[in-house]
Amino acid sequence: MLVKYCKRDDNIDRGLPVGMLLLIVVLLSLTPNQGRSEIQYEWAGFGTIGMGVLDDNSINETNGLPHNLYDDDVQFDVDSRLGLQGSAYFNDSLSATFQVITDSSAVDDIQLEWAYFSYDVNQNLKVRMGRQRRPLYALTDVLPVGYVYPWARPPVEVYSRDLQVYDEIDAINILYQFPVNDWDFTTEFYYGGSSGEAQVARDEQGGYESRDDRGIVLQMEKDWLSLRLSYHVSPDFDVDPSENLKMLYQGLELAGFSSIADDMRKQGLDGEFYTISAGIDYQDWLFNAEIIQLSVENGAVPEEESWYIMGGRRIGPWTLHLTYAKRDRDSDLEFSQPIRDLAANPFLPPAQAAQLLQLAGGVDAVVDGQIFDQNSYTLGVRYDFDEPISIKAEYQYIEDNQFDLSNNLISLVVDFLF
Amino acid sequence: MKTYSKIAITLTLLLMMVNPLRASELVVITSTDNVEELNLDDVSRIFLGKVNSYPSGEEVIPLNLDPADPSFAEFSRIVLKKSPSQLKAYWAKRIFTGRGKPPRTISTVAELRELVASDKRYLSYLDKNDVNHRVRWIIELKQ
Repeated sequence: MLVKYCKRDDNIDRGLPVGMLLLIVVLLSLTPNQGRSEIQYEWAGFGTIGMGVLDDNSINETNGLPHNLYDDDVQFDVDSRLGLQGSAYFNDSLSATFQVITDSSAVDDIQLEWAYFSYDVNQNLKVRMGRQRRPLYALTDVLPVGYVYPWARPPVEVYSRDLQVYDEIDAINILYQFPVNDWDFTTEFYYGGSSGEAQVARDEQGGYESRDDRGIVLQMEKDWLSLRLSYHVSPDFDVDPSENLKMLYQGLELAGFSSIADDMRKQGLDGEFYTISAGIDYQDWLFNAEIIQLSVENGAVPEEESWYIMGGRRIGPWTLHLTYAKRDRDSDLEFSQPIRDLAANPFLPPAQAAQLLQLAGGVDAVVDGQIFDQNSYTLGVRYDFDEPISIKAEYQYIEDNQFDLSNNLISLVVDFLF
Repeated sequence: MKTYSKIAITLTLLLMMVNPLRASELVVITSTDNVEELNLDDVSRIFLGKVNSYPSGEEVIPLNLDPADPSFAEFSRIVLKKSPSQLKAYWAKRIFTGRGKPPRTISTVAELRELVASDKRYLSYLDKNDVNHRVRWIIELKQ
């Protein structure tokens, strides 16, 4: 799942605050212990070895960016990864934690997923500062740790690759947990920003930067039932245009439609996410569902409404599960109408009108290339060993309704903790 | 139907005789006097890190036996309603998202008993036969 669809260059873009943070951690660790206080260190790790193959690659060759993780060659690097976390506890309430992940899909890429200070203000209130994974969807912050969920990877229709630029954030996070009668509530609020590189076209990376990001999460749990609501905003988000887009914007400006180019540019985007999820784990019956909604103001970005529903049953060390997932990304944005209106002018020379129509076609393609209408059915089985190791096998039937295509994906995954 | 339940009871009794773990009973232990109203659900939430205090508001610190001790899995099954791998997944989720860490683990029954006796905040569990005068049991964990 952590395939480097969105490659980040941590050293250049966000290295400074994180690097300083790590330096502080190291310095603090080297400080001679005063009195009886002693720093406690803890290490923990997780890993996944996964492989998968699609029976045919047509579903990835339609439009826009390839949405599915695998292609028709057996691949090991999509789901495989190794994570290591270290924590230093300075006293009962202050700690520093970092987590790095090596991702075999990006050989020389060791990502710093988490690097933060955590301070327990009291028993219920925890404040964290630094690099964190954003609690966007129910599983976003724990996505790299395959052992915690039943699938080889959460449904890509909801946990889509192109939204993973939102995964990491340098932020302050306030976590408050409190009981109300038999219910356990957790509320979470964060504020921060992120920047780095994202895939802006096939085989092309571009920079992105997001400022003043904030979100709030409310989680309620009681016995076998859990509910989660979240709301996130990214009010000021820029993504660099791809080379093709730059050419299109130039064409628009030359043709006198610079206002259209301005409207389409992914600068100052204002994004909003809503998510609702529910989970039931009752006497070895499992049920999970999640709905996400994304809307973006300014710029040529379609709206997204995606969801999945999963049912499963645990039988001893075995877990059987069935999932239906749907991704719907659609847009009623129409940037090209003024160009088409001009092209329809009967006094215009036909050659010029044809050029304008071509330009209008290019404009439409930008939005169309980001539209998805895909659903999938996943049948999976997980086996848990006594040690924290699990093996998962999955069959997935994927349908692309936009292009009337279907593919089959087979995945085999081993997850472990250490 | 009746025959089946008789067979089931006989088998259960046989199993209880064959398996020495079933012969005894786990109890929740503490050294405070102030927790009469505690129920199994409260104990579960304390051991899963969802609450840090007794319903009365007093601080509580859960202590686990070593996972290799059969009582650990027994307690997890009866109180936390989780298999060992479910429990590992539960804590992995919390550890790797910085939300908390599992209760401290104590390697021997004797050490655990001493710790619980020494501090009123500690809450743990033991085989009923291992309870001595320094700690008291407050809940019996039925199979």
